[in-house]
Amino acid sequence: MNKVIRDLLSRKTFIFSIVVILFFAAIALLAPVLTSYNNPYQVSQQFVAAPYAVPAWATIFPQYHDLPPDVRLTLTPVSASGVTPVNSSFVKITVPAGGEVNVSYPIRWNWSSPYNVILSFILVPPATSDFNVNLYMNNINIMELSPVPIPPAVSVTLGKPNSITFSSQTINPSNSPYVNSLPFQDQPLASLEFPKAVLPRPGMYYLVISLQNTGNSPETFLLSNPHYTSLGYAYGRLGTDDNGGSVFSEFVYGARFDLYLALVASVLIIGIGLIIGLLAGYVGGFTDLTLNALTDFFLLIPGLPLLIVLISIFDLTGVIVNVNKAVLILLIISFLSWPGTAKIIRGQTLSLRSRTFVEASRALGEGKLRILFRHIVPNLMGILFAQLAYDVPGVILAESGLDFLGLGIIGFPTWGNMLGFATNDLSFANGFAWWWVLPPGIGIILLSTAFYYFGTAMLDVLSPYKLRGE
Amino acid sequence: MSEVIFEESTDTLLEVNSLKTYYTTKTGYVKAVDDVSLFLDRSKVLGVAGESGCGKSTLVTTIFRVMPRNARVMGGEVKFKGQDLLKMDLKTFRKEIVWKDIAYIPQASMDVLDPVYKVKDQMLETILAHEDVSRAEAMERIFRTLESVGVPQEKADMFPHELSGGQRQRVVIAMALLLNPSMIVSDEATTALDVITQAKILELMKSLQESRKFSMMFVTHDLSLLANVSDSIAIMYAGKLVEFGDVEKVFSNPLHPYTQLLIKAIPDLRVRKQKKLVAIPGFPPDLENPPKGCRFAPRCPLAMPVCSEKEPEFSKVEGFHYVACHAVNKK
Amino acid sequence: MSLLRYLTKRIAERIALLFGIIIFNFIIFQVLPTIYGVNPAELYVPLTYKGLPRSELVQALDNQFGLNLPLDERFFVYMKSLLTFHLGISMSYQQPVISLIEARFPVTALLVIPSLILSTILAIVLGLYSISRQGKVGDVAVSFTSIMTYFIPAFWLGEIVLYFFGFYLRIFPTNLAEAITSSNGHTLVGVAYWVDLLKFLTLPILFITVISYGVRNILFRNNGVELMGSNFVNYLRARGIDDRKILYKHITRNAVIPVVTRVGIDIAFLFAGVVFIEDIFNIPGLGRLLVRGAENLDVPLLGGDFYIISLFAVIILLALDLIYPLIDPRVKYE
Repeated sequence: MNKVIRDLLSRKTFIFSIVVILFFAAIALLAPVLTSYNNPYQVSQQFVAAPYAVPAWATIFPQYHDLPPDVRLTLTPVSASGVTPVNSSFVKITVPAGGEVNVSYPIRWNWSSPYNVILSFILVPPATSDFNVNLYMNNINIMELSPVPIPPAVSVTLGKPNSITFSSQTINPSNSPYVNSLPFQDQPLASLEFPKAVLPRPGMYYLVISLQNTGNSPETFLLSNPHYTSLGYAYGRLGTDDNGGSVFSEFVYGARFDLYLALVASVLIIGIGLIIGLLAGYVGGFTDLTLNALTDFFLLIPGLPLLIVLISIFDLTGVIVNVNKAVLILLIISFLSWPGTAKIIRGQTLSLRSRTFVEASRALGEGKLRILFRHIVPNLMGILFAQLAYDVPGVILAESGLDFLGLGIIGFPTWGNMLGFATNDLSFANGFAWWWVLPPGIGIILLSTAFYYFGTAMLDVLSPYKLRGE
Repeated sequence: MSEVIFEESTDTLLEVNSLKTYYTTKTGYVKAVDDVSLFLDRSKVLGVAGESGCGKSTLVTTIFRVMPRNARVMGGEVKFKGQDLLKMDLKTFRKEIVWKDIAYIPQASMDVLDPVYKVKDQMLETILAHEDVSRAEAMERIFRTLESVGVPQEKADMFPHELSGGQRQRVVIAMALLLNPSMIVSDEATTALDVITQAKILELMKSLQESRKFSMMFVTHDLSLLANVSDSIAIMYAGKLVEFGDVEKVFSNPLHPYTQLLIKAIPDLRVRKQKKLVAIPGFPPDLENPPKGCRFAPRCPLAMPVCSEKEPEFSKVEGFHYVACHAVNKK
Repeated sequence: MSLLRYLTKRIAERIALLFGIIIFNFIIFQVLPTIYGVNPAELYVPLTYKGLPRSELVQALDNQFGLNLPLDERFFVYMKSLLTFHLGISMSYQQPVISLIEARFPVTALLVIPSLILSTILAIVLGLYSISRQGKVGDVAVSFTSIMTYFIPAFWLGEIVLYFFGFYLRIFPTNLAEAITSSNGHTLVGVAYWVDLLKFLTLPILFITVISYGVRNILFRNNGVELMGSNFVNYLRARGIDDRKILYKHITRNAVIPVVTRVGIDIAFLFAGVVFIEDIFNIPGLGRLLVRGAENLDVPLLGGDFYIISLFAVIILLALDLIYPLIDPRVKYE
């Protein structure tokens, strides 16, 4: 046994395969630790950043250099006359009769425009209705708060704390003077244009809250320090998809699924292939003829079309309602993938059956089953591992292909459906979301290659005869 | 070893001098042909015998320069008509010497001919590779040659797998005769055949040699075949030439213990009472690390202490008879 | 005579395969729904078709497919309808399935057959390169690439290739409708149509070629390398035949035999590739039709299309069987 392990470890390709498999196993197992989003396809886990955000580290490239990250700030005002801090988060502003006080909040912006802008603060206006509050950003009037809500002004309750939220994604002509000021045809695009208008490029910007007193006596306003948040175009390790979901989370959970798939399918394929191959090869006669014909049939029939047809039919007949679709797909793929293994096992069993050591044990009166498990099965180990090498990549590719076409799993991330979604509306205009397209593809290639090299190394080490196929 | 000058050669056609062909392996060299010297005169037959793995085939592939990729000539020369074949430009050698002057008869195993081309096409290809003749002319020569080896013309239209073993061997012999070479090397040409066919083929080769007057190097593991065919005999063991001489002398007075054992191993049908079949004990040595001294010493019944110390010199005994053995009383 | 025997045996085998496919279709599309308590007739009848009431349609289909018969009798009706290409009416397209397939079959054939031929040629050419540089960097690189084509997902690389050549470099048209429409907005006809169609199909054909040649390349290379050390090659070299002639004439001819055999197994793989490529490149062929059928759970379309794809595969297999004796003269005597 030691010799086998030493022999294996002396192979570079084996080391490579082990490293890759362990790497994916590690990220699959540590998925909950690595990311807090376990299914970015759920609406609640989307928009963690702008859609199509590049990975954070990609900002080292010049074309992504200025892209903003997610930004979260609590703004503090520039001290001015009439503005007095109450505590760390509130200021009191006294506005003289008929006068106006502007509270300025500087924003140091180091990037290009963000995806959106959200501002929230608490305003306690005076109890009289003779006031007007306007929000300006980059000298653009973005919001108006008034006790008399004539659009685009938004109403506030007098004398009580008002929780005010401004979101660039919900602005429209009736709640933002900015939209109102745009030409009519541009108004539907206001949400998209807004960040470019208020934060066009790196620089110093001011949020100005302008408090107007239209009454005849001084009024007092209470204002909390506004929270500024915006989603950026650079996010995380692998950026985001078209819904602003974290690609890294998808990749990690995709790895989890694909690895699980590979393991279960391996066991099933080897199991079915071994049983059918042994039966055909060892029992022989009519059993062999029938099983061999069946194997040939499944080998020649176009597999992917068959897979598509089977899954559709199971969908139609309602089986999928009762069985988890992922499980069903797994079972169907394994069921369609055994023929190669069965054929090779059959051939090897046939050749082993007539070898001297088997004939000798037969002559010595050993039982059929004993011969099978003592002499034949152990000698098939090498070839079984080699089949793993060929079949597991096949299973991964078939399942990914199905997901890619949108006919397989769509409810949670797999590498296949990641690619499917990533390339759904591929065009020149959309650009090429490499951070989204490349990782699942590379993942599939690495995992497949790893299984291939693992299998061939095991075959070389374990097989007592030279049985290398192809 | 010093170079041997064969005084007995009267009309030398082929002369092999201290030839060394080694196979490179991961761990070193396999000395398949190690310091072999011999000669072949015009219109004579030289028999080369030895067990499998003694280097006979390597000797042949070296002469034809078709050695496997890992083989390398480490020294010596192969002189044909005074020219060193090994130093010659490979292209010229292939075009001008091979088949025109020296041809080769391999063992006609199943796959000796390309399975997907007809016999005549393969023969035609061979002619056209060396001579600038018309197709019709070449075809006529093919039919004539096939006839001369006893193969009916219509067999030329067949694929190799459609021929019997004997026919295939005859086709291969005809192939060697196509360009009327002055020397033919036959490598185990009769080995895989049944005894009757073997005798017929041997007969055919002998008569062809006598009528066409080409020299022949007849390589075989079966020493008994050589007695009637050859003029001189070379015995190889483990890459070394151990005995070389006139056929009469070697058979009537084998000097090297290995030759003696080989001759004893030939079953003699004339002796009615069944002798015990003699086999040589032990195995040929590992040619990557050959034993020190004489390579036959570990198996030799006459081995002396000196045998495993010093390599015996290959030297003349008496007349045309050379041997490499410490036990032989040299003159 | 023995050649005739070989051919009859092969044709019989392929007919058996076709028969197996029909049985398999029957099990999937008739037996499975029945087992799960779904009336197959329901799956085959569109809600409306050319204004006919549903009950009349059900009746018409019952007559055609015998969908109300017991399973054992239904089988023969079903087999007859498949063999006569009565494949029903697509629920989603509201058209006879056979006319949908007729329109798409040439497109798929135009994809499959050239790429099959080209990939075999590519496998051989690269194989020859490898054999002549056995063990050197070039050989290792070519062989490694070939193995990798086995593991690179076609749909993934396809998208990248489409993006790069189609959208980025704009070397190839990416939209079929645009490709076959003339500048004044009419659909092209005649030669111009086929030329432009082929121009559009060039990238997909080349792509399928590249992703499917790998196994055959490895097979050809390994076979050639083995042949290089074989008796007849040694004998050819000993006869003074030029090394290049040995490689290009003798080795090629012999090593190509297992490659042709392998094509038979690769066909299943090729059709998988076709489904992806048609989906990615938006090519209206049989594969894309199948995906459409699956998306809409359109049983008549699925069944008919799957049957035609399988039939197509069987025909290619049979064609290979027929040319095989030309490639390997020994086959007659097996």
